[in-house]
Amino acid sequence: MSQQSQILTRRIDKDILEVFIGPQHPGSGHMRIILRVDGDIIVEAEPDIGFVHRTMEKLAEGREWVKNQPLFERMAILDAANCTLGYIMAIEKLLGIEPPPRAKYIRTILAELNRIASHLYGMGIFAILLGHSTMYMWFFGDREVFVELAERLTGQRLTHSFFWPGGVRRDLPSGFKDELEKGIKYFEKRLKEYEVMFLKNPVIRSRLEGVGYISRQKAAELGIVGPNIRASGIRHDVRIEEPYAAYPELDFEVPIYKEGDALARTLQRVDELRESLKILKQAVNRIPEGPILHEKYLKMFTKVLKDVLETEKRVKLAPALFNLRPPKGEAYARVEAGRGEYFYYVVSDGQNKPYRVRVVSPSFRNSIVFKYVLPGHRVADLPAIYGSIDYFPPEADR
Amino acid sequence: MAIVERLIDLILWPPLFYYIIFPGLIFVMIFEMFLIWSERKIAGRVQMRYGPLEIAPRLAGAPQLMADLIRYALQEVIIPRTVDKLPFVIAPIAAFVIALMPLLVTPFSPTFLPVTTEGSILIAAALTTIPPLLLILAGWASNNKFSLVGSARESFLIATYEIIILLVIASMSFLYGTLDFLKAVEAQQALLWGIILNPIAAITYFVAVMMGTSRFPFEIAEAESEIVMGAFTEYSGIMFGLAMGISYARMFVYNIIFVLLFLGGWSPLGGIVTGNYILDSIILPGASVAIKAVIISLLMVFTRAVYGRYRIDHALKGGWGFWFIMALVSIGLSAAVVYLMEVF
Amino acid sequence: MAEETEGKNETKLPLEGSLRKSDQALVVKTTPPELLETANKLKEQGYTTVVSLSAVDYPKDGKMTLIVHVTGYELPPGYPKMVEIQVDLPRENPRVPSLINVWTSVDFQEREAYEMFGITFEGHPDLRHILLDPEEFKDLRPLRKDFVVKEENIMLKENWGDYRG
Repeated sequence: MSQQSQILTRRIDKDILEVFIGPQHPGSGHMRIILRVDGDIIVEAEPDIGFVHRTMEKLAEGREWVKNQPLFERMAILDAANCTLGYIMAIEKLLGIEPPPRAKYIRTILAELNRIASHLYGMGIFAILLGHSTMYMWFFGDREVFVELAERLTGQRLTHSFFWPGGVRRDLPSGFKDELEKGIKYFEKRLKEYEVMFLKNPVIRSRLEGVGYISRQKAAELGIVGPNIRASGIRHDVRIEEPYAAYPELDFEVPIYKEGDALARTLQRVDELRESLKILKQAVNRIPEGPILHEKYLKMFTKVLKDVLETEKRVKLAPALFNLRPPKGEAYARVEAGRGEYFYYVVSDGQNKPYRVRVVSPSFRNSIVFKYVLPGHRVADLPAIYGSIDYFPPEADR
Repeated sequence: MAIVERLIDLILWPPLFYYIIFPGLIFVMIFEMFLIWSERKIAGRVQMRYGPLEIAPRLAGAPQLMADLIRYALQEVIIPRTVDKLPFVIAPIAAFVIALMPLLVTPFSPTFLPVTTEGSILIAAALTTIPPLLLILAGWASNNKFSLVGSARESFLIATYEIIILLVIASMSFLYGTLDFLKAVEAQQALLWGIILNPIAAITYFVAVMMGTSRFPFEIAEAESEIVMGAFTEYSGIMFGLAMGISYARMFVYNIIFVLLFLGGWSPLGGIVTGNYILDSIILPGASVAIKAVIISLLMVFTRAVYGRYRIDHALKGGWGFWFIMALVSIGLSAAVVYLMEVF
Repeated sequence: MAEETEGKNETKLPLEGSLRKSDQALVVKTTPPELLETANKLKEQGYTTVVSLSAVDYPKDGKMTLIVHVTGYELPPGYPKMVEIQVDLPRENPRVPSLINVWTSVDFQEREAYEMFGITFEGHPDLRHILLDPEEFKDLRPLRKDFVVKEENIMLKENWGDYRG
């Protein structure tokens, strides 16, 4: 009995139960949400993030410009291409160079492969949070198609480290187009099955409809990004607002939903999967011939390096390329990743290491939803909201 | 040889045989193992994966649950410092034992039943209502917020499904005009199976049992992504293994009752006469009851592959708003059937 | 670093600032007392959302620059997509008024700038640590330049060559 009295207690309001969801909880990621519940209704929610914080912005100041790419990939390894593309683009803006057209197309292809894989991952987690184990397995199983396509292209399943200021590191492998089209065909068939199993499932519908409603105005106010803001009726997509890579040359739409609830966010992701397939099809057919690296660097190549590029279609990295020294200045760049907008702000003082890198990840901006949207919902709605905003803790914590 | 005969005598000594072997512990364990294995296999087939395969791949991983059980048995049972120890320990054990107790009065053949009584339906129905109370006790004794929330959800659900199940059982005993399983089965053999006489009752009972035994989409009281493991969050080792088994044992018992009330009991195989007493009076009728119960149970576990999880208020709304009314309607239907039988 | 941000404001946004060549962001310089006024002006013009709020530390110049990036979703044509507000602050006890009443989206970002740089946002209702441990990093400001990350040695046994066989 004496042992029991040692446990610290704190008085809280009468009839209010304080529940800690996470970080050691099967329904949360590496994060904690402190809920105060009155009966089954949440009256206050406080997201406590930072359990996987690595202070990437500080770490980035200690290593050479391009060596930060593997570091920033660790924010969201399942969306590695998209989350490093912004950083590479910011360096390119500082250097004042543009990648050649073929490299832009290859970037687009990898970015879309990553977007599909990322959406499928998020929806898989979402499904298991709602207790739907079949869709969890299906989403993860079908994600493998795109992960393997990315592996064919880059040599890595997840952490590709594929981009390079002024280009990409490998050309499309032979036969990639056929494999990609096969994968797209398979996935289009599967999308129809998802609809029957998940999107039109009455149980799932009843869990999602009207849950976690975010109005158009509130979405803008909270600054949420990605499919979440588009499901609230705001057509915000960096691919259209500030086009990068090959997106301005491709024909695609950004679907939006007006409902703003968890169901709209889910349908939004599925619609975006369709658009991504469309982009992939166009990109792989329209890809122009040409170099894959900016000519400024190609000139610096020795004969051995050029031979490797000719025969193996890959850029062997010369030590000189690791010591990029962008001119003094600042630049920002943003890209549309699977979960939303990645924002990079880099400051260079002319050295071979960045003076300051600021990165804002979509999950960090979305995490505000827990604080402002959860109150008023039931405890059982937490998984539905958590999953529907596709929150990924390592990305938020950086 | 005398020792062997003694042993056989001991095993076949009715009290021991009934409680330990058939229809008691060992039979239920084998059934549970088969059911859990096939649940995982079926779900695996739907979900583009293999299911259990590591242990004995030639048997398609069937002994997997044995391995799990051995692991649970050898694991340390951790009893947290803050729990209320006595109820914490007693609750799952008592719940498991009491969950099996309705088998005392459920006949597997016209002659094979441990306890003969006129009110067997009443006793079985009464005994099935006790284990969920012990689950609430377990959650309360655990002194854990998730357990408390799980217990609260369970208690909400009990109030819903128990009434529905009891009303449906009442409607069926009304239909057969008896409170004895034996007579209920005889009535079905004489007339028609209960599922044809009163299909509304059968469907209502099926859904209520899914609600009561934490099948999807009613797996609300132990929703893993919300409240970890519900009332059993603090349990470990063999206690956790037992806790996991309770819902399967309850489902099996409920389905035996389902078979006896709706599916004609030992109907197809029970009538065969081969001349062998044991075959005729125990094995064939018992097998037909058990096989039907397994099929119904498989139907119930298969919903795992199709549905997600309802929110508690949806389940309660469905339970009180629709299935409760259906249970009342089934009583009306029984009355109508009885009236028609009187007329013709 | 004013020399990099030259270029006149050729956009239609009626605000004093300079257009940066590298990324076409409009850089607006202001001071802590005028920050709220600038923010309100920007919000009236349709800049609804804060993308990033952070700072850059310049110990050599003895200052710290608070940098806020704002954007809007329905900007009139001709407006810059990104407006960068720069506020120079002293390194000792930097204080600025909180922007949370203008833009709610700044909530967590101000908390992050507070723990990383020690900038106090006056008027923020809940200014606590968000990513770091509040006790361990009570007085440490990791993103300032005078916070040096201690490099850990690579674990090598002294005579590791002997074990290679």
